[in-house]
Amino acid sequence: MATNYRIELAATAERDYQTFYAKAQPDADGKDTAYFVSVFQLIENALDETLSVSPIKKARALAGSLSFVYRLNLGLVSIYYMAYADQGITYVLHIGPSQDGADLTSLRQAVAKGEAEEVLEGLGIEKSLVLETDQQDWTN
Amino acid sequence: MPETRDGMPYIDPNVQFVSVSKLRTLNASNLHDLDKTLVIQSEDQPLAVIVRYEQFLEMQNERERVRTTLEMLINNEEFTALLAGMQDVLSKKTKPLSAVRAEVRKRKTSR
Repeated sequence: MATNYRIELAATAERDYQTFYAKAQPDADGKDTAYFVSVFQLIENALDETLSVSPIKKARALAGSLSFVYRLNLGLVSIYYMAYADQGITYVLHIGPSQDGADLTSLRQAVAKGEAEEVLEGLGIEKSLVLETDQQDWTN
Repeated sequence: MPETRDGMPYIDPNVQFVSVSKLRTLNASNLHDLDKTLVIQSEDQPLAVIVRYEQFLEMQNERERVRTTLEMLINNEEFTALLAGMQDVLSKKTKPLSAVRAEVRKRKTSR
């Protein structure tokens, strides 16, 4: 498999990686760690097969002014990273549990009342997109 | 007609308002070559919108990206970790993956 990108872990991501690695190790009581072994394997595969080969995908980029950050959703976990084709480097920023399905109701209400316009403007996100973003319509 | 923030009328040249009868002229060939968004109207009442499939997917992806970003922003823990990760990169507090892997494995064998 061709490896095009060198992977660097930010100190935060390094701690995350160590945490997932430790959880995937069998403990002294022989406690079942199958779930964490699967999660850690997902992370390892993503690092070797996606982030080091084809990290730059528009569909994975965050919106607005955060579009230089990518989020790879692996179901159980998500990896946030930045990638630079000219340098051939992927910086892993954070690895954490996926937070899909967060309740955006309060945020939508704040936007509708005009209480979040400054933040959205700063991020370069259209207000109308937030108001129309209904997770029930778009997650299926 | 939509207006820009400075109150000027704005005409989007990529949007074409057409009557229902236009539907009858659409076929695979001209749908394939469609480079505008068509708003189908009947008696000045907008009824439907036709966009290219790729354009619809692009819009869907954009909304998905906005949703992902908003979910991250309202999750304090995740947002804080992401900012910390970015700060690490700015401060050059990074380590090659191979070195991190070697360290955790070495720690495991030395237990």
